[in-house]
Amino acid sequence: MSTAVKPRQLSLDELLRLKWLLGGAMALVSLWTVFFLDIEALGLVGVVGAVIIAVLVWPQLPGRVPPLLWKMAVPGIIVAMAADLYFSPDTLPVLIRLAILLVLYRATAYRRKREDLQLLVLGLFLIVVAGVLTVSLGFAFLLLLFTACALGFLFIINLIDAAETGATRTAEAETAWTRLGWRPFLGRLRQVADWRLILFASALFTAVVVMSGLLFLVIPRFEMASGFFLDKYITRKSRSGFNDTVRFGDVTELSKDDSVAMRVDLTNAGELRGEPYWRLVVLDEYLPEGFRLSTYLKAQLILSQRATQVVRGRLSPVRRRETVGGFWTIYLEPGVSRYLPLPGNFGILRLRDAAQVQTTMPQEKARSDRQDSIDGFNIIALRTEPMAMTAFQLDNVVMTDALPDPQFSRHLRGWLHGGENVRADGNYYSPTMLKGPVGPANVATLLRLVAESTGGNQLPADEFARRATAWLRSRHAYALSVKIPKGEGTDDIVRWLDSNEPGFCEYFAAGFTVLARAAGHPARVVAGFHGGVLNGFENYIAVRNSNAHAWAEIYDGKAWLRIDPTPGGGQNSARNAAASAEQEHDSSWSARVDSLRVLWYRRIVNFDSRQQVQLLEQVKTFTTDSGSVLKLRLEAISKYLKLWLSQPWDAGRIRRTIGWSMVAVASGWVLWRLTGLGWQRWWQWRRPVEYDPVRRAAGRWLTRLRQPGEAGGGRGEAGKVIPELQRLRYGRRETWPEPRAVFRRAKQARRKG
Amino acid sequence: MSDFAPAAEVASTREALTRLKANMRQTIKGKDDVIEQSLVCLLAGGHLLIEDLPGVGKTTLAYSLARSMDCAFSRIQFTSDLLPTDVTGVSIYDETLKEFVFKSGPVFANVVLADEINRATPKTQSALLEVMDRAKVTVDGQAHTVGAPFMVIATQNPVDYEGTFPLPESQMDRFLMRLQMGYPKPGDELEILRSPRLGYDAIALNPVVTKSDIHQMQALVGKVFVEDTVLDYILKIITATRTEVEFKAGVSVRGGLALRVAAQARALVQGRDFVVPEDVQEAAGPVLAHRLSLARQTSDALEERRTVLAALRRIINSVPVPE
Repeated sequence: MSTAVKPRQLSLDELLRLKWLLGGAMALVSLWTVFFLDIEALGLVGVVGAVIIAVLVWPQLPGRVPPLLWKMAVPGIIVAMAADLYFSPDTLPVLIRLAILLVLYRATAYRRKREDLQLLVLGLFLIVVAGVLTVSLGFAFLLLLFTACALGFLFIINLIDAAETGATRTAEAETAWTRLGWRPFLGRLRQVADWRLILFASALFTAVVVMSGLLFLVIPRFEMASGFFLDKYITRKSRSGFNDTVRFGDVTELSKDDSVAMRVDLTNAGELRGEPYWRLVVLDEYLPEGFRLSTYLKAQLILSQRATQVVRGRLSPVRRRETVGGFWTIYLEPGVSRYLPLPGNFGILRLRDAAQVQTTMPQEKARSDRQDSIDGFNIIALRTEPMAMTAFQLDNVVMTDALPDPQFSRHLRGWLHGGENVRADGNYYSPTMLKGPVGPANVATLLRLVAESTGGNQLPADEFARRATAWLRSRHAYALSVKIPKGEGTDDIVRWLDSNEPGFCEYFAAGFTVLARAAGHPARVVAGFHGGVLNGFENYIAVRNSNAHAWAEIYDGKAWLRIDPTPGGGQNSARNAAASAEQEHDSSWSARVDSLRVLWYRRIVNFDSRQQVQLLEQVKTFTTDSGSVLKLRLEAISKYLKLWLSQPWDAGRIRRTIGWSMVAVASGWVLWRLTGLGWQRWWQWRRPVEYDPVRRAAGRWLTRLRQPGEAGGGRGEAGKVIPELQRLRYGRRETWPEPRAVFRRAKQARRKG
Repeated sequence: MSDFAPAAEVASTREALTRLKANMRQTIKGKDDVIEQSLVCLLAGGHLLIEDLPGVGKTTLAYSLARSMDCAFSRIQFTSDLLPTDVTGVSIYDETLKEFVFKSGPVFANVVLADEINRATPKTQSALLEVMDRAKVTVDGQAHTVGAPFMVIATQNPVDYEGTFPLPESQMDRFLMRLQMGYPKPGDELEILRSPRLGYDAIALNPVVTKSDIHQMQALVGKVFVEDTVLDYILKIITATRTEVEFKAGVSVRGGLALRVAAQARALVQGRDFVVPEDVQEAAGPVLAHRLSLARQTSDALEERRTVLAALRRIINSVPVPE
């Protein structure tokens, strides 16, 4: 017989070590959430994380730090925060950096109970801030992780509390837990890990998660981020090139970024006709270094700003789902743009939450008749680039490559005949969409190139676009690195046009626009996304930052036609080039993970309480349905039994019945034995030596009777029963007294004592 | 598992031990724990090393233990010029018999009191080695059996200033237990001061147990039941001393066996026929402390003793007690 029997509970030192481990894990999880926030703390988080991991692996380390340093830590943190506050423009990042430093301090110093709770609260602060600012799936995962750690942590604190009562420990014993070896410690954890404990812990965890899930279903929605005004305390640096100005080269940078920029949830994937163009922003004004949104338009956008949740599009809104256009939900990731991507015309755009919205779309009937109407731009923008994921729904979506703009012809006529519509405030709608590079050298070159591409004829807009595109593609290949020939007197884009250098979408779009304007056609550059990958699991389109694209629009007298002069029709990257006319169908593993995120968005990011009610109703019908099904089953069984019993009994039937019931009992018994054996084997495999239940019970009684401070014999009744319990626990089996009688007396002794 | 400790024998042992204790208490005041430990050592069949400052009753303890038993007792006062033959005996030529005759030394007794053992030279000290280990003396190729039961009770001063030779570790390992006397409590000391007796000759104790009683009791110790979890507990304590960084080396296998035997003997002294973890804890200090030496040098022996005991106590506290 081996002597591998081990005590079933962790000692105080082991508990302390476990607490240290869980506290560190909690700190790490909360630090992890900071990665979701786009603030300047990543270096700090890296260093702090490394330090915390180090003290997790070597818990003796904090003991070696001189005490003076610990004393200096808090003043140091305060000074650091003050300096940070002075230099940083925002308050929230300062607070978060402060929280990170405090987490570092709390996670690396040896903690008492109060300090344990501080660590918990600090971690919770980081998690909540990150969660409120980014409604992301990763956050949900981390929150679950944190919950598990925190539950375990609190449980261990309780255990330590219970174990510490009455025990006074010397200073040396206080830190004895740091000297436990890793291997024996993990071994002990494995020994103690009882299936019941694990079952209980998982049940508790599930209960907490389910309870909070139910609460989430039931409580009314409110927007946390706007409720706390958190986004006011943080300014984000924009990741994308979708600002008011696009310089040549901006889109190339984006094409290296493979992260998802937005996800589009379609009611029906068949609504897609070809690869969609997601229009974000129109760049109408030519500058020698690029194109930009003209100041006038920007001012108009600002003037149109109002807080709303609904923006009306050009098409009539749908009353019912089954109409021509589709019903699309777009989840735009934070940091992409303040302009909302639009795939074409639509009826109504509904934002998840009311926000300050700027748009060129006519929102009232009266405005569309105004002389300076800018309806044709089709831009919707938020006041600021959103901090969190932005979600909006479009109904009656019709993908189109022509945007009708009858108002513009009137402007055009005004410009051609009467000059610019100068207004008193100096803010006027100038013919930006007609102006190209200036200066004789530029103009001469452009005119020569126009003549070269059109053969010298005055062509209508669509014909011009076709010829010019063909001419551009014949001269310039597609490449992501561009060399612009050097020269004096002409603009970059003109020199590029005049050369045979390859280029990418921005050059083609800009070159085309410049040519069209030189030929007398109003034209403009549009920036946005092109394409996207259909997720095979959840039926949505994932558009990545690398899908960023630029194209042009040309005015044919009635509408703006979309022209994509880039070779391959805008297939600006290798991935898009590989895509066929069919929508690309992604069913890779990463697509599966990504689809989880859309599921999360669909469930969590609700537009109103309708879905909430639906979900609750579904839950209710499911439970009542399954209940009634069960009831029907039971009724049927009882009916059958009644019928069976009421039949007359004869010898053959009795024999059959007895025979079958015997077979049933025997097979049941065999089954029970088999599972029992399996269970036993499993049990034995887990625990090499199972010690006697009587010994175990006696041991439990001994610890119960021997209260702290009353070492040894004990008084009165307990004093008499303890030797017998000891005999049961440690004595030879042959000399045992009757165990049950002894336990009964122990129970009595405990009640008395 | 056939060797069973019969309840009657356990009871008679307990009764005999009570007599012994009462007898020793007449001369040793207020040191019941030390008396009990020495009885544990006697029952376990081991040798005892008593260590403390001069004049706290080491020799008195040894003397009264020896005198309480009805068996041969001899005392060797160790000095630096003591020769091995002075301890074991010597063969001398007998003119009348025309041959060498072995003249047995003082070690041929049942209880040998080796007083101030660390004042003898290592050569003389090691003369005791074989006797203590095998209860035999070999002189000129001839083995002579010393008495049975055989017990060496040695005393020594831990901090003697000059002319001492510290016992080598191998010799230390031969002793089952090392005890400290400590000063008596004020009340007990007052009683000692009041008593008219001076010197050992005045100790007049009547033997209360016989040789065969002791044989019987020692045989009974082996039959005291040690449950598996308790054995495992002992094993854990032993292995913990081997991994402890403060010690130069851990407890040997012999040390582990000694701890088990001592725990069994203590159980018997307590009147039990099975070992409980408390027995192990109580026995661990006296049985293990002198087998351990510190990895780092200490300036004086007393400090070393203290550090070793503290480390040992920490180990015992950290090893989980079987429940």
